[in-house]
Amino acid sequence: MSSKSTRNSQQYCTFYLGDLLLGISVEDVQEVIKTQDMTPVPLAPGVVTGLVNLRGQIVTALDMRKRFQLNGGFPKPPMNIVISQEDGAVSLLVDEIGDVVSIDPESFEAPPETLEGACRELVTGVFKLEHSLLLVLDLAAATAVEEVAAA
Amino acid sequence: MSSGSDHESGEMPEEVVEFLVESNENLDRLDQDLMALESNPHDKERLSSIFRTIHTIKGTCGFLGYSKLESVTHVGENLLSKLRDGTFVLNATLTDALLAMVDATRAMLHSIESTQSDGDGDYTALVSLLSELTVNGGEGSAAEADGAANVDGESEPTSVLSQNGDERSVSSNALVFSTKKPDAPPVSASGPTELAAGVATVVDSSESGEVAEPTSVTVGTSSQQEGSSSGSSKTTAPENHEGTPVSADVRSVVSDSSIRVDVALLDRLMDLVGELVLARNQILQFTAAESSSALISTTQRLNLITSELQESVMKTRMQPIGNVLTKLPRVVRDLARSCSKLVRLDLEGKETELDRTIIESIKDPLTHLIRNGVDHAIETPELRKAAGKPLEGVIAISAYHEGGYVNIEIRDDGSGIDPEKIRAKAVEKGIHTPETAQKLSDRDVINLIFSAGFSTAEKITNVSGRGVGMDVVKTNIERIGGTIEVSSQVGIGTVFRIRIPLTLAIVPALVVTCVDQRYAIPQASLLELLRLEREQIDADVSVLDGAPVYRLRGHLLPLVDLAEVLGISDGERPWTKESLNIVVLQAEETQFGLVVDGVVDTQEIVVKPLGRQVKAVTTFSGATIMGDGKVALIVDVAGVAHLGRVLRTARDTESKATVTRQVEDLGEKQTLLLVQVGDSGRVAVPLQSIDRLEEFRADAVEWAGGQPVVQYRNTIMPLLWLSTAVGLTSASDPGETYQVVVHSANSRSVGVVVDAILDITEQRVTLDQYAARLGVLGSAVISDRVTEVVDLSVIIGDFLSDLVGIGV
Amino acid sequence: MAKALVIDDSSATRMILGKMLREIGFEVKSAVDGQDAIRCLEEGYLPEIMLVDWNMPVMDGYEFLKVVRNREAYNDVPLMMVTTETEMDRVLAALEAGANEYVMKPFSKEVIIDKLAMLGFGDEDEDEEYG
Repeated sequence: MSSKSTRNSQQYCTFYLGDLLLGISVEDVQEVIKTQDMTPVPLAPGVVTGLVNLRGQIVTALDMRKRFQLNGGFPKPPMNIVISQEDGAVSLLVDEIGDVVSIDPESFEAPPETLEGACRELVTGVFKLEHSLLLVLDLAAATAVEEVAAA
Repeated sequence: MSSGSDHESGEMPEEVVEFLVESNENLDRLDQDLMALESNPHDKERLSSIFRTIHTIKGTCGFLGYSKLESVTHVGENLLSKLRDGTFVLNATLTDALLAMVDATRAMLHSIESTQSDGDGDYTALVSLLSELTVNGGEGSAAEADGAANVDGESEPTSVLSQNGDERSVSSNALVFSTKKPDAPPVSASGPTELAAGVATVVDSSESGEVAEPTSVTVGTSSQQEGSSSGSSKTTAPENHEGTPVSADVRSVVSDSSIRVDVALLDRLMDLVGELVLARNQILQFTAAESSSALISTTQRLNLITSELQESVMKTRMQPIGNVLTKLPRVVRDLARSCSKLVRLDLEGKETELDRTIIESIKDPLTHLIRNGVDHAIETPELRKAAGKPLEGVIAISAYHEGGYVNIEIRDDGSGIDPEKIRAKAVEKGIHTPETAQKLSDRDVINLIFSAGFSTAEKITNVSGRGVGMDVVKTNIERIGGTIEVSSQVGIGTVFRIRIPLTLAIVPALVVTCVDQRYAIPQASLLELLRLEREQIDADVSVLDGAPVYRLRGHLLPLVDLAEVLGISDGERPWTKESLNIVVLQAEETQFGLVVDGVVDTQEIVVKPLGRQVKAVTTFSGATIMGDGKVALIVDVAGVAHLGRVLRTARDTESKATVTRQVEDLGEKQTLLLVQVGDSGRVAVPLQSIDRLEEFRADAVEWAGGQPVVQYRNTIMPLLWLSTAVGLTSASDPGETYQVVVHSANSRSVGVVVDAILDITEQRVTLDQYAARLGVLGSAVISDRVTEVVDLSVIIGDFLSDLVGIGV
Repeated sequence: MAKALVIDDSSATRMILGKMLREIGFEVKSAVDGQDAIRCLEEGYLPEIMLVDWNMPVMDGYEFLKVVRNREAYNDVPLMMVTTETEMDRVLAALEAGANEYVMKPFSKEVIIDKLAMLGFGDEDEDEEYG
């Protein structure tokens, strides 16, 4: 239900941001939807792309490329991963959605030293997959952007 | 209240959840009943209701294995049975002990809610006190009984502690349901640690007791009926209308016709209805283009049904204000006892309904006002006697509907607010000098209590030492679109009047456009709409030192460009366009014009909160969904006003000094134009003496008869330099343009040249007349600086008399 | 399946007793007070046993007992008084007025099984018991 459960779950919804493969626990994901009509919020932090109407629920869309301080915009219309949080839903805008992968919690490792910058603060750990490294997103950190808001 | 309780209830066995909901409901009523009983100790109906409540809790908690709770309620039940059977008559000592028992019970219920255990609080002292009272009826042990309800929680539990330490012994003859360990290990002690050895601290535990209660509300199938609106329990619910015990028949009707509904479900229902309204709006749009009469009439029916459904669902969210008020008698009683006063609380209009979100947000301000009333307003019985008043002070709360608002009046017959004391306080706090303080009217002085940091509490009492002042009360009420006023008469009493909207969930709003987006502006702040064509813009809109103003019926209305405030402007000044849409708004005390691209229409919008990532953006208060399914932001009028710099309040700390001085009196507030004269001189010109503000290029100035003039509106207008007129030497370097204040009298206009226009300010002005001379009314402190206030008509009259004969 | 009627003003208690009785193998209905129970009976629910709380608003257990014992249709339905030790004086009065058995709150499933056995319930139901 909350991001705290990340460590214990087995199934991860994966997504791409540039070269990064990231994952969040499927339990945290409410749904995945295509790009929606968005209402921009003037004066909001840059990470906030806008507000989306999801069946009557107002969802705050957050640009994960900006959150990860990646260069460049989305290569194609981004996907929305809708996360239900206690104080309302947020949508993570990402490049592309990957598979749902099952992972043995045993293989969870701390973020490697080589991770740098924003990425390091937004990842709770990594899983070594066969061909790649899956970074586990720290949902609380990734969605905590209010402190940079305009006063 | 907390969303956390929903999570936990999922893991809790349903009978425990049921037990908590039921018990908390009953306890709230118990507080009321006990106090009512104190004033009428022979009320049989109430006695048996009280007995039954504790009896039920005790009976049920035994099944669930909460042995500590069982032992406390058991002795409470024993004591109550003596009262019911007439062995004892309720007195203050017994009431205190029973209330302490209720508090202990509440604390344990709280503990059960959060930890599923009745906690590790030690209630042996309370149990033995209650046992003792069961024997002697409170006649022989007043000392201990006083301790039991001592509000500051520092009583001496040792005197009764471990007299009967084995609490299990009292219920050893009960068969205990053995599926749970009788004494669950101490997990978290949030509740019971607040209690001093079984002695309830009344204030704390009554607050903790609120935790479980608001997660559900009771909905009557006919919510208008008075009975169901205050009958909050589906089981027993004897009504609390003083002196009118509800008959058994009525009660059973109430219990049959209402069910308990989770608030989250109601909120969801509300969302769904919002969606339905949306779909309906779309269908209406489509059918408008259709010609099938069958389809049109069906749509019209859908339209009606949807509106009615929306209204009904709104009503389910309405709760009687009594839900908040019923907690207050207990607050008053405990407080009055702790400060040795006699205070009665009269409640009127408990059935007045409000949206539950508003109910939540007036709880604290109301409680604060009541506490203040008991603590500061109502005098001690000795003082009241000396003043020839009844010994018992009265605080009366009445609530009633008026328009789309609810008025709440809190009236006390206490000492009143002494303006002299407030004046002294204002001087002491450096808000005023003794001189300016004396000049304030009593009414203004009394309203100083709402200023930030102005607390009249001279000593930190155990009651009001919570660090919240009246400014917080005011802020909280304004946050939900309400207002508060106070009036008071020394020796007679004080009245607070609160006015709040019925609901925040659906509000009428004006939809406007700005840079391709729609924004909703709550109509509560809307004064009027203006559309100016080019001609009017030229005539009536001026830019004063970069700040645009519009001359509206003799007043200068500051303009705020919405696009600019929101940082989405393309750089083009709207007043250079062919037309201008101005939404005239009221923000706190100030009016201003918000310039928008277009006005769409007015509609009822469903207000939804913003996520925390955007909550810090002060220009928006929420969002809503438009007919086409897109999201529109709701403009926070005060936020926009602040950002547009047309509003300064006490909350802007940097301008605090200005604001407090603004309270300075001389009757009406004045709007003043602050202008620069000479290199650094500054004078203020009352706005009502100004007809227009103009800017002329220096090369437009011509000379006629040795007098500088400009062509203006097909006439020749003479110019005079204000710096010279007020006796300052020379003007500063004129530059390329002249800023001119136009004054017209007797169908002739004179242009008064100033060196710069600095600001427009609205304030009460206290003139110091030592500097008065021809054309200068005096000086006053404006925006922290001593400023001369000029009288243009005198200056111009003087000027014109010199011009006679020149032929201009 | 034998039918039971639980009459108690506390919904938590109704839930607990209902659960217990269902585990023992009863079909259970409940009512919030005596009047509600009479309505329930009149609507055609004829229980084999009634568990009646004594202290209830509107119509308490004692009044309810008197009503049902005066009605031919229900006067032989076994009635078990559910009470607490503070009401011991009432137990005698209740038994005199026609209650068949009493049980004191709180009680375990074993206790209620024993009490029911005294009224002739039990043997064949016991197999259905679990937990």
